[in-house]
Amino acid sequence: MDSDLTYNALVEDHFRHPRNPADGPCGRAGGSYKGPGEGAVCGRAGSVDRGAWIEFQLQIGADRSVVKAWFRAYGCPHTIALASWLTDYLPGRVLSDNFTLDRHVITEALELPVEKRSSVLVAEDALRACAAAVCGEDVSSDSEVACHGA
Amino acid sequence: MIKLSSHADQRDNVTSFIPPAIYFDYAATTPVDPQVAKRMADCLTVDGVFGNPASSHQVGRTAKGQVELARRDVAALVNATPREIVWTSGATESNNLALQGALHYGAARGKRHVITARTEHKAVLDTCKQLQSEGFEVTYLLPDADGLIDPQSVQDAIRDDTLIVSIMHVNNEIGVVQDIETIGHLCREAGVMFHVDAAQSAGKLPIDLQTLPVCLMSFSAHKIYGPKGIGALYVCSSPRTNLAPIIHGGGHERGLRSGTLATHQIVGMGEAFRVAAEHLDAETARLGMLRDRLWQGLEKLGGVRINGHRSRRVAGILNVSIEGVEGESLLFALRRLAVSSGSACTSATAEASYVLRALGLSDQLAQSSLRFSVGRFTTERDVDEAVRLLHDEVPRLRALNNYADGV
Repeated sequence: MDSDLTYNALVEDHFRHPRNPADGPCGRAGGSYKGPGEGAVCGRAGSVDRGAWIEFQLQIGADRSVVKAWFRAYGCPHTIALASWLTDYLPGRVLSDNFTLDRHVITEALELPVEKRSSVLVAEDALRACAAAVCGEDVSSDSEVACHGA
Repeated sequence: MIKLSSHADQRDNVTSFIPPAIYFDYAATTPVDPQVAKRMADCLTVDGVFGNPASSHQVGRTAKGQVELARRDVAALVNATPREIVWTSGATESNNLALQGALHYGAARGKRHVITARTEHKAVLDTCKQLQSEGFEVTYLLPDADGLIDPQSVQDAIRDDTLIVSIMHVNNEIGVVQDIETIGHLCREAGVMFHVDAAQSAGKLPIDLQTLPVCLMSFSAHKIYGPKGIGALYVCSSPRTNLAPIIHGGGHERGLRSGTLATHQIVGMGEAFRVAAEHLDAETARLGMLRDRLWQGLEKLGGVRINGHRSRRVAGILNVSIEGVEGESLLFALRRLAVSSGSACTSATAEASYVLRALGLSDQLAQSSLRFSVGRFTTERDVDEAVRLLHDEVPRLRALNNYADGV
């Protein structure tokens, strides 16, 4: 019935002290809200019922690279730590609709056990949803490279 | 100086193991009462009662005397007669002996049907599964949303070939108390045997087997400050109850359970049951107070629900589901507390608690459930500390997800 609770130091650190948590729905302006505000790009994936849900809220620069990232997450400690860790990892990276995460780097850094690696796919889907939001508006123009190349 | 082998090191580690700060898992097991441990230790060494109770010489007879005293103490807690108590290795074996023993004996008379509930302990459910593989038929009753089995549903499920009904007294996960008296009466009227797994109720609720219409009842020692590895099965003498043994050997325990009697374990169980009888009323009141204090603290979190009936419950168990926090994260955040969880996170294929699912809870609520069970050494301070920890961690984790905006 109980899980064998072992996590590496990085997972524990991100779980205890999450980096860049957004404190509300995407794009909410004013008040004490921490997040990208107006013009934010947001994407979410997974579901609470299936045990993992991740949302990224991104501030995107002119070159379609991530300037700053915030997250919200529901899930096991690995899922929360992964989403938090990615908000440190994403700035400077350019989103595309076939965006893929370097699973090797991630599973090694967070020592994700096999049964937890699906959370990487949830994070990737959330980022692809962000990319679709970036690309959706003007896929025909000069955004070709950013939207269809890695 | 003697160098310790690695095995010895491991044994040392066991004795120097520092338990988690606060223990809230008395429904899983309890520490052995020091008085019980002392009496057990007196049954091991050459200067103690080490004899084989089956030996006819003085050393053996002394051991047998201690075993029979313990049998009287166990019987006394539940108002049975000592000869109705059969020693086993624990409640799991008792459940196996009751069900397999009854059906293997009863099959010859064409009785091949068992009735039980979806929320029973695995020791009953897996035994039933085994019986099904042998060709017996099993009906699994669904409880209501409060975890209670409607006696009428038992009545409706009884067939001509029903041999036995098995319903637990207190559920180990949610603590609800089944109406075994009503179920027992309707079984007796229908001429059907009635087995009750009382692992979680003996020593916690008054049980009077002179008036309760129960044929077979399973007991465990380690749930009430006795040792692990010892239990008993009550087999009523009137009406006469016939079982086929599942362990064969020297014909111990009137042929129902062979194997040299473990004097120290039996003496430990007897002492634990004797002590439990002394403390039952006071302990029930104190644990009920602690459980209510815990709930009053948790309720203030909002988005917390009690699993199982609000009042028909044993004093020591509180099972809650906490919305907006995933089960494994909850356990990790609360790792200073030794609590049990409905979470099945480490295994990709395992389901969340089957008991909570049978009550109709969603996967999410079943995963995010915690079972707090309080016991003899739990203090108000422990409860307050747990409440404080939950008030720190639950809002923190909820703030990380969409619980607040209700998506």
